[in-house]
Amino acid sequence: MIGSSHTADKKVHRIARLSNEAKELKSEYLDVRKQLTQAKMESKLTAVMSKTGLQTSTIPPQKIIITKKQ
Amino acid sequence: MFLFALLIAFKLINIQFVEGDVYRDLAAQDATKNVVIPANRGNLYADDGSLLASSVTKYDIRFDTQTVTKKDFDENLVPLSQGLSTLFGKPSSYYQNLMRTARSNKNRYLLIAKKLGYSDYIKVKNMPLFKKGSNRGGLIVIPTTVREHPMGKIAERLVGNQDRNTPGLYAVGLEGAYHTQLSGKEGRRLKQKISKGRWKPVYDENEIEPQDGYDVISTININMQDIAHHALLKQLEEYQADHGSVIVMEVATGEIKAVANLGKSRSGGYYERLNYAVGESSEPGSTFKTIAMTVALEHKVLDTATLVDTQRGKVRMYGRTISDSKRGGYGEISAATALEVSSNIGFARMIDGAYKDDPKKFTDQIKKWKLDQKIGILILGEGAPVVPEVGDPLWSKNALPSISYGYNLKMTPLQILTFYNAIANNGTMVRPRFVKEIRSWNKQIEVYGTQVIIDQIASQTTIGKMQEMLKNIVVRGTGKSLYSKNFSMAGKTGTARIDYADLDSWLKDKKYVSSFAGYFPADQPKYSCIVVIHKPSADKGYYGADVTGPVFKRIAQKIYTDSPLKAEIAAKDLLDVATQRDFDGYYQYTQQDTATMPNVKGMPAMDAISLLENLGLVVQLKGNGKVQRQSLTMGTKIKQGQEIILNLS
Repeated sequence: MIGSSHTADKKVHRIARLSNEAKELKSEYLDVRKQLTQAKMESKLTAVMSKTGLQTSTIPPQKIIITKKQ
Repeated sequence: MFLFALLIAFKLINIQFVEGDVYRDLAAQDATKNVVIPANRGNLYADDGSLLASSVTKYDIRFDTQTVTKKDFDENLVPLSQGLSTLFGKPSSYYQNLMRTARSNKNRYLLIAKKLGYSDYIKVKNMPLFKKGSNRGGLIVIPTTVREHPMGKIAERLVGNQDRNTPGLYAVGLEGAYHTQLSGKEGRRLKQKISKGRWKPVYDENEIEPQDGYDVISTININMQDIAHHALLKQLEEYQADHGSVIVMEVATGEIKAVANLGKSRSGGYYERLNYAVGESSEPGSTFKTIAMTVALEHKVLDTATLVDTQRGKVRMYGRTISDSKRGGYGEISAATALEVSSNIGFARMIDGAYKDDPKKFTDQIKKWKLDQKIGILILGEGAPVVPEVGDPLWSKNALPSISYGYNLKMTPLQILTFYNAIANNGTMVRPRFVKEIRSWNKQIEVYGTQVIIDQIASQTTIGKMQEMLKNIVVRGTGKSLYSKNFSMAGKTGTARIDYADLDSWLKDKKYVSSFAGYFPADQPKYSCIVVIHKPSADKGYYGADVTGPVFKRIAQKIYTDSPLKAEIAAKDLLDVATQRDFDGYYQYTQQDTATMPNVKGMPAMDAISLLENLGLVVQLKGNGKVQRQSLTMGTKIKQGQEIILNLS
């Protein structure tokens, strides 16, 4: 009886530790995701690249589709 | 002695039986409690799965200055302060002073930093002294759950957030509109106290299981939102305007792709202040002429070729002067031209001429299109339109001519856009929509499809004529400064006076609302868009084409440059003999042994790099073109990571 109660207690501590860990991992995931979202936004990229002289294109990319091959 | 024994016995009985219940309750309260298990709030996503809002743990860092030994404190104070200084930007001396004072004041709970993200928290945790942990290092970490917005300030108003003063209260934006779905249901469970201040469940099963909130996937596209936000910001700054908003909507489905709302702060910067796009109902001005024209064409009271005399730019009607923006006036013009050049006189005379005997016929048509009603979106605070009719206190002889060019009635930007979208959508009016679906993990709970408000607002002929005129406005009308030969747009400019009740003070400080509503491309439109900017500095300009047009154009251009032009060719023999020879030659090289340096002279630089890097060399190029000289001669043994210099010609 006392033994099983102790195992239960241990489990509770373990669950608490693991859920804390899960929280930290989620926090880390979102933190990195936020950095990525912000970094890949076009306005940010344009600002960074303007120093090197690169600009966004004013014409769309051309896609050439070859329909027939001999 | 006996007396003492008696007294003790009396107290015992008293505690056991008289006050017993109270103490037994207290004991139970101390050892068990009914805890609420909070449900995790769902996430809010953009249309491509990017996160707009999610709950996340943030960390407050505090410092117990007393648990640290004097030796540890003295040794680590300087490096710790330097570490904090590089991370948070305040000078190192600031932290040294802060911690010294706190230690002499015996502060056991000194605030170091608030709401740190995970990566910053880990950095702080690994700083000198703090890495010794809570007992020897004095580090106290308090985790709290906050709502995180990976997009930052962009789309802040549309997404919404919890009330600043009441945590847990979500009223505004999408967070507010879908609060029930996002919040889930909290659970309850009886728990018993065990060591280390933890609580363990008394029963195996939760008495009430918590239910996590659903995820809401919105229609917002973060790229378009980003473009819209920055294009609007640029114009607001340039024209020193009070505030403005942009909405981008997908024509066929009514999905809102971007909503930006920026207002001026006291310090002069701009930030997402209020949801103007949805909430602000004001006199639309000339963008309403499109609606008036559609009514008239649909009732066949005039045609695009019907002539109207706008005279010399100033006309008195029912005792009030109406003027056009062009000095000297436009003279006699067709109805289509009146829309293209946005002649107030033209519209006042045409609409008054056609409907003065039965103004109700005109206002009824507007009501039939439900432009007098809220759209009925779930977001809190949708502005109510005002469309007066005969008999209303707002009605007068002047009301009809005023309405014809967008005064004496009120609409929100979203309501006007809904009408323009219907024209772009060949007459089918769809409801603007912010949410695509609601999910629970990977299970769909609810999917929102296109909602049609009115199947066909007008005949195809009328719609076709409207589309033609809106296109011509950008080609040769008031929007011609926006014209681009690369991509097509259609739309109507608008410049409305605002706060003009007191004419004298208005003349001293002229206030306008500048707008542009339309869609692109002009043929087979994909997106409709409205831009409204309130109170641009009149010295800098206030015409719709100058102030708001560029925002519209920027978004149209962006969408144009993002969609590849496709060209299909039926190719016969594309292979060039020389290219084929190079290609085969390269293949042979890759088949050779990998321990010695090959000869790359005469090879194009691009081929040489890939070949040599695959062999493990670090290549440096000098010049352009084909390889002229290689710094390692052919046959040399290759070491991994070795450097090689190629001179090109």
